[in-house]
Amino acid sequence: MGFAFYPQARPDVETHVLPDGSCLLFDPITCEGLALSIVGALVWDYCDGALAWDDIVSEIAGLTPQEPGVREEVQWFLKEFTQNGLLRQAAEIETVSPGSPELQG
Amino acid sequence: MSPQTTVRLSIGDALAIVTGLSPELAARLHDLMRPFVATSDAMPDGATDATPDAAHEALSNAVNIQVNAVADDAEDEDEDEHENIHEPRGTRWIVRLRGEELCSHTQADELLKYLEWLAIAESLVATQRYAVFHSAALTCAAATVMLVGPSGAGKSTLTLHLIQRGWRPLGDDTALMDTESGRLYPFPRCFHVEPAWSAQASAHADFEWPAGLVGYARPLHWATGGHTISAIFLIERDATSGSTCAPIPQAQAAGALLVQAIRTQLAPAQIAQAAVRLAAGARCYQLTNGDLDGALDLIATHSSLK
Repeated sequence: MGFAFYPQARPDVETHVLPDGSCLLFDPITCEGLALSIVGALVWDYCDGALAWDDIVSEIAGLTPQEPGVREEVQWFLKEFTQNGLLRQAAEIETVSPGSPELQG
Repeated sequence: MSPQTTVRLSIGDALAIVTGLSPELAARLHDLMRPFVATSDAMPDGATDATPDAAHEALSNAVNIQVNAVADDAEDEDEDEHENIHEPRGTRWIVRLRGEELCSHTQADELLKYLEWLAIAESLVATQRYAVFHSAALTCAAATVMLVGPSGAGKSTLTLHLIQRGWRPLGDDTALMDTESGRLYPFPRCFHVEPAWSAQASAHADFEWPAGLVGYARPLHWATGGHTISAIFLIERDATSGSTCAPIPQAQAAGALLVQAIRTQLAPAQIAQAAVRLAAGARCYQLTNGDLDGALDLIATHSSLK
């Protein structure tokens, strides 16, 4: 089981929440920013390593059942975090967080 | 050998010191960069626009630019190009930055343009207090806006026309944010304008034309003091349709500012914080710049603090 199933935000990525609820992530390694909508900010908040990828999708979709396309949006953000290297790698999680769900299961 | 002079330029919180210019060239550089001039040997009355700070030179990073005039051995192929040059014919100017040779010029106008660019670019890199963004900024009444976008999006054109509508510029391509106060301060650098626009100099009474350089114009009236941003417009050029304006998340504006940030002595995380701070206090829009009048109207409508 790899990092993709239990997304966990890299702790060094800076999270700037703006007054309108949107969020800017700043990666101090690449010095690049990633702007997130309110949904994106919520997805980032759920990336704590305790929830599986599919659970995050279900949880957030459940918060806004009236909103069509939320599942796809959450999936998109999770992929975006992954592709931008904003999530911790599996080996890193195993080393630093032996209590993470994938090791317990 | 003609006497040499020194021009000191206060740019941001840095000091650029240009040495080795003849009095004639120093006077033209002084004219070109007058709002930044701290002291200049070129001006016999010592008149300057910038506020000299006695402690400035000692505290700031100094940018030392040396110019050496030498006899140019190359044949003079086009004498007409030299008609406005007050230097001896066949002069080559070698430009050094902190002792390292960067380039040489044989045309006085090209030398002045290069010195202006070099002094500003190196001073901004040396600045320790300001976050610097590639952006236009203007103020009118209680509204202060930033126009952010890539080259070609129309920032300069919008800026020139907003000035004609009574706005005061803080800058047309460089925005200086004081990281302590979070406010934007004027950066009165010359605008680079299209030859066609500068050819109609008499129609632009609000501008001056320093140093006789084609394509360089400076507004006569600038915003003063620090300004809190009320609106940020991300400019996108689309000549195929009318202008439109739509709200965007503040984080999107902050991200765009981050992309347009210019490297200084601030840490990247500090620059990100500055971008976030600017966006957090502003209403943010995507402005599709189609027709000029429409875009100007949309900026005026959406920039008010109401």
